[in-house]
Amino acid sequence: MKLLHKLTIKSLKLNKKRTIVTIIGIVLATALITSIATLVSSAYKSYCEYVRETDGNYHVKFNDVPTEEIKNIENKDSIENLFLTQKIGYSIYSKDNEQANIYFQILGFSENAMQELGIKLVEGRMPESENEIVISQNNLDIKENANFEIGKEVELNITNEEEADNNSETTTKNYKIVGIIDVTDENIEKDYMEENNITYSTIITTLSENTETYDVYVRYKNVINFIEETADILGVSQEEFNQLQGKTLEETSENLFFNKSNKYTYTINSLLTIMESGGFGYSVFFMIYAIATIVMIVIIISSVFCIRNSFSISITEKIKEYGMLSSIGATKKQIRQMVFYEAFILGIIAIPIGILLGTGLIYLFLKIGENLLSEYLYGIKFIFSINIWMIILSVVLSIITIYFSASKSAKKASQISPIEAIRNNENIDITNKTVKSSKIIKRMFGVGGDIAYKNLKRNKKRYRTTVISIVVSVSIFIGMSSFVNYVSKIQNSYYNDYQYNVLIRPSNYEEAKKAEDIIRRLGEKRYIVERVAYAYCINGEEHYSKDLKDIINDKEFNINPDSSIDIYSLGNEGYNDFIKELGLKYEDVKDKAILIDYKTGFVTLDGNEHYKLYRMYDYEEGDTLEIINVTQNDETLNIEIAEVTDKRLMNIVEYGDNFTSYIIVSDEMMDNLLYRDARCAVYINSDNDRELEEKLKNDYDFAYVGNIAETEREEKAKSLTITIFLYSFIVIFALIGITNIFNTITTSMELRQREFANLKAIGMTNKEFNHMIALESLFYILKSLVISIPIGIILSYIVYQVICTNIEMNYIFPIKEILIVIIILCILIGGIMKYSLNKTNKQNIIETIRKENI
Amino acid sequence: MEIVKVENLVKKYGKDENEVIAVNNVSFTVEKGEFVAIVGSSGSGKSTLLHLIGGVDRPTSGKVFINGKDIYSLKDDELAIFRRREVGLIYQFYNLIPILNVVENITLPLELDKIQIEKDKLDELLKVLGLENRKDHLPNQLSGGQQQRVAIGRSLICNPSVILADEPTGNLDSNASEEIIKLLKESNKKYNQTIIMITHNLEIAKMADRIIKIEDGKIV
Ligand SMILES: Nc1ncnc2c1ncn2[C@@H]1O[C@H](COP(=O)(O)OP(=O)(O)O)[C@@H](O)[C@H]1O
Ligand SMILES: [Mg+2]
Repeated sequence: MKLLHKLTIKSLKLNKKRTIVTIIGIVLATALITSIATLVSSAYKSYCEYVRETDGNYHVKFNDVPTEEIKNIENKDSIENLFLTQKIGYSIYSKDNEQANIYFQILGFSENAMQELGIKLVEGRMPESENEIVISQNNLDIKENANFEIGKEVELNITNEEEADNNSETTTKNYKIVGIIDVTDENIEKDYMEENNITYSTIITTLSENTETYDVYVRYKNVINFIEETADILGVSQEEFNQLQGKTLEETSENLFFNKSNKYTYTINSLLTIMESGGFGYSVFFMIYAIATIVMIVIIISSVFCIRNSFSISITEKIKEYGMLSSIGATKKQIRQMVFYEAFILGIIAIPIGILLGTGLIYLFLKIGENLLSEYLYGIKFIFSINIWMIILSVVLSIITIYFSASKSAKKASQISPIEAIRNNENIDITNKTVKSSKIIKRMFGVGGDIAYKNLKRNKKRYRTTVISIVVSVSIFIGMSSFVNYVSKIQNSYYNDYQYNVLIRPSNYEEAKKAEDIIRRLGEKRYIVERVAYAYCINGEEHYSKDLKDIINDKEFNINPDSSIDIYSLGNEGYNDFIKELGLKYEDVKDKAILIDYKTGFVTLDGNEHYKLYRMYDYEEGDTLEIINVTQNDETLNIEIAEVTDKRLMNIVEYGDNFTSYIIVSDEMMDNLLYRDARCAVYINSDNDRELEEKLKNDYDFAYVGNIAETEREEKAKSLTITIFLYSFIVIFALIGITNIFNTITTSMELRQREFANLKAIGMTNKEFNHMIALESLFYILKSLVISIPIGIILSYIVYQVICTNIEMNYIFPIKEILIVIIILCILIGGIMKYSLNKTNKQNIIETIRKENI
Repeated sequence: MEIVKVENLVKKYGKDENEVIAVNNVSFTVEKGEFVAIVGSSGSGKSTLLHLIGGVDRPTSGKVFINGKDIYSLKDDELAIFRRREVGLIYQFYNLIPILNVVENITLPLELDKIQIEKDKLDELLKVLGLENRKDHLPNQLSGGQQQRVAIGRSLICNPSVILADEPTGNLDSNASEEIIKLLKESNKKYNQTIIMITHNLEIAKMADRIIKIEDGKIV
């Protein structure tokens, strides 16, 4: 080894503390980049896996493929996996209670299909022969409603007709129930379907040999070629295909579905396909990718800054040593080599540790998060995934950063003249400018303040490093917090915030009245007894709002609203609650209607799409609606509008994306409007939803009792997962910032030990000294806040602009973030200064002075 | 009048086998207005002794009286205030505060006491120091000799009981050295300033009123 290399290593060993601080700086920066990269790829993998589990692990399903053609598809190179299902038939099952029926679809599944499709075994086992079945509990309370038990034999009348009724031609077959499943794939079984008191459910058995067609599920090796491969299987040419191709995968699917030249109809497992292909060509995902890119760039800049900082501090501290070497004849080139060699050594130690730390932390984070939150996650699994390219990227970035930091320091080290390096014991540019306001400062804060202030003014460079590192951290923190806030807000707005949990669907209004009695006796106060009459508006088109007209004119949407307007009543209690909330009096409104015609959706404005809340009609308070009551033999009604509102009591009426509006009327009025039964339901917002549900199911005999809270909890779990990932971004950002600030300030304090010892030798008391440092911290904080808060606000506004281009949302001034930042900054800087002070105050003055003098 | 009195002063470093007795049971006194030189070979304990007199270190045992006050009976902060008023320290490396200019460095001890400097006195001092034209310069804009003169100015500014100088010329060429010694001598005469100075240079030592020779931590 060359002598100079030996010297470098020796000096690294001698200055252990400094070396360790530098290594920690690089380790943390590398760790942060890798952890973000790992976090992103883990989140992505976790979500893909979740989609695979719930929606099924396939890209496309071809319907009714003739048996002899399956081989053709199976033999294609592009196919990774293929499995079959089969429509065996439909069956109407009457349970003991004559009124309620269950409408089953019976499907045959290959063994693969049972594993790969979105079904979960809840109890028992999967069928192993054609005589064994499992039943879906998705829409059906199997035990309560149908008395289906594992081990029980059932006789089913099976028909081939989809629109089966009691007169259809049937064959009878006996099955043994071996298990109960949960169907999560909505392509197999839609969530909650109940019409005319018929419950729709699914029965699955094994594949039988004697059918002519199968449904073929296909998973491609490379989802990027999805459209090509699918076109190939369908027998559609490229040209035809391009014509049929829509803007989104859903549109493509629809176009192809109605095209006569394709061999089969088919269904795309769209979410999985989109996720696995990286989500390109899907506007929401495009936005997320755009933002993720910005986030990555920001992280990189701040980590680069972090590394640069700790590295350049290490080198400047050694300027004296380099000066000495050059005084004994080391050439500039040799000194530069030494600096690079040092950079090399530091990098080779720190980068691998950083990568291990970054990925390790995310691994732990995911494992701990999954364990702690398993109760709320409803089967969402956190999958740890390392993206090798991201790791390589972080290594390259670290190396580049170290290289540039080193070359800058090397230049500095090699340019300085030997005697200057030795004599000029503080390597800082100090300007002797007269500090004007010094007198005021002195009067206000004493000598300590005076010296602190002069330090700020004259020793610009030292301050600049510290202030910049605070400014970078603080403004990025403010910007990123806003980012996370907006994203989680948008994300939460996708989920309907139900304000009721237990739902009863009585068979008729009488039963609904009975239900009301029962729940009142059980002590429930917040509930709605809903009745609905279907109707539509005469001359509705003439009253379309401008927004709605825009949407209708937009070719892309191709919609045609039919002016349907549903009439709701809420029961006396519910109605009174509702008008109270609106500030109306019962007597004034009991013969009038309250109109809810708000919708959310994309509206084109100045050529740009905006996601916003808009009204369908231009009716106002006092106008009279002319409507035809479909439920009541097309009777014509004239109802005056008492109020137009976007409030929805307990959120039972959703804004939705259909084009129906609602009017809410009093119970009295509904009694007059309806001579016969309409659809009714009882919604309860109970504090003990589970108990209430149990009681209603066990003690009474309602057609359907459900607990929305369960479904909602599952939705919340998804939203929670995303929120966790988003907030861990923030934590990582805060960590980058804190590390950066900590590094800069401790190092700066370390470098000034001798200056401090001198002040003390002259006779500064510890109290005065602490006072001085406290003021200095205050100046740091003030100065950095003055710069960083405006930058932070601008950043948060840019973030707002980027995220909310398509979505109507108000700008939220980041006051909360600013306060958090101020508090954290005070605690952090105060803490660091106090820590350094304690150390300084304990040190022997003369030893410090001597040590620094060599 | 005794201004400095050192009684059985001992300073040990390290423990057991590594124990070094840097100052070994030293006693002596210095009268007001005396100019004392301490000489001795390198590592003999001169600096340690001086630091103990100046109150920037603490002895293992023994006492130091300055102006009749037992300085090690004082608490840390009291000692600091005592130091700022009664002791002027000068080192081989000038140890100025890099961000303060010449005047600010010199007046720092007064500032710490919130005492307003009389302009005449400061001007006179700057003239004596030969720094009239360097008032606004920062330490890194000065030569070694000039920096040392600022340090001397700083130690003189509050008329301390004693000035302690540790090889003040050790880092300077012979011309600059001569100037510094002349300056010290002058203040000794002019202000009747007590000075204790460590030096290697016998020529310089001879200019003092009295020479104390130290060997292995003991006065010989
Ligand atoms: N902090 C210390 N720790 C251990 N030994 C020390 C320390 N400071 C000084 N010494 C030792 O005390 C002795 C006297 O040192 P010093 O007073 O600096 O000598 P001089 O100034 O006469 O050259 C030396 O042997 C030195 O090694
Ligand atoms: Mg010495």
